[in-house]
Amino acid sequence: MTEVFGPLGRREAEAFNMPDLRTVVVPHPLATRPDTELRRIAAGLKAAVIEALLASGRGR
Amino acid sequence: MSALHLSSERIAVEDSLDAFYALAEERGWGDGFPLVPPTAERVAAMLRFCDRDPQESLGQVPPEWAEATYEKVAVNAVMAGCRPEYFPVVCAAVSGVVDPAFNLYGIQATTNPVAPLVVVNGPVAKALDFNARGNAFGQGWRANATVGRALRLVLLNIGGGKPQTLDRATQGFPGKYSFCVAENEDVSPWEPLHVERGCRREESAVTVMGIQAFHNIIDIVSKTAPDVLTNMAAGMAVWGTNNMTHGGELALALSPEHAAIVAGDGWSKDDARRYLFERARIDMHRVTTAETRELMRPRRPKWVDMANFPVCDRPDEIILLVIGGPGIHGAFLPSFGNTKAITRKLTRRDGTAIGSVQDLRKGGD
Repeated sequence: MTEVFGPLGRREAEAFNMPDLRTVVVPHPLATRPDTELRRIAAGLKAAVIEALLASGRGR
Repeated sequence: MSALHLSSERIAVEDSLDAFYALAEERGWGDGFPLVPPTAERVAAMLRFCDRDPQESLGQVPPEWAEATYEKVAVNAVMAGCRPEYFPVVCAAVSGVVDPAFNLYGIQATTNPVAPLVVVNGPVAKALDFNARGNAFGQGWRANATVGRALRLVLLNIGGGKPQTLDRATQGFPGKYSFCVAENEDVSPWEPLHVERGCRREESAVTVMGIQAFHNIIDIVSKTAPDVLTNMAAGMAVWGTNNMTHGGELALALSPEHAAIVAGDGWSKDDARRYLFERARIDMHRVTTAETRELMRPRRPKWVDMANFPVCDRPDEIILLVIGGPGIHGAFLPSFGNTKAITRKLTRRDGTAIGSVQDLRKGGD
């Protein structure tokens, strides 16, 4: 989620009974960025996404 | 009055409007205006115009995804100032916005200035005194004001769409307080919206649309269908709406005078829609940067001609309404884009249409 939507994302996780859901925060806004920049942002987040997925798998 | 099982928390508060207003502020209820205290008696009176179990749910309201039970909706309708007989209209609107195709989650949480517009059609509009004529989108009619407000209170108090937390609107717009209107069927030259959408004229229905603000289009000179619609299309062809960037449905509310000119030339609604679709276009080179145009290409891939870029993808995405009193103003109502208008017929529990809200009324006064 983008920084601005952090509180919304955390509330959604609670609403769906996943309060410990790990999230990865990206800069806001995303909607106005061209594909090339989005790909660069996504590449930079790879490690954080893998860590969040593994943490979720370990039940953290 | 027959006993109703109400499950909401009972809160004792000093018997004064000031005390209740203070409590509501403290609890974070409401839209900022004073609220009518939802006493058990008032909630029960609202529920007398409902043939469902109060604990039955109309659906979950995002982003909290809490259940909109008839009781909770009634509490909010009382707080909004609705007369009890408005309750079936409020329920139909709530039922519409929780339809997944409406995309209420997106509409509640977006940075866009978007609100559900409630359009009331059929005999109940007149019976309940919804304003379809002069200043129909504006102030002055209890039915319009309080039914629209009741839906907003449902989105706030059940859905949790609080500004600056879960409602992420950058600026918002005044329609987020209340946004409810009736179509002026008496003077419309065409079949009303609910008939277009599958209802019979003698049935009543509510249509909800996820509308991004409101844009007036004045045209004081046109005397023919092509002239009126050319000017309306020019008012719809503006950069910055979500329809331009994402496509999707949108609405145009013609004044009765403009509608009479268009229909007087023998044009049907479909004729008008096709004409508007062909002309509500912009030259993207004139209004956008090269970077913006590159961003647009994957979002509206069907349209490669950037010099002739349409506001929506098909003529049938243009919802045509006839609303208002004397005058030569139309209203362009762009949408959130990723949303579909939803129509709900006013029915009994068994699905049969009601002729009047009194058909739902339970006994006693």
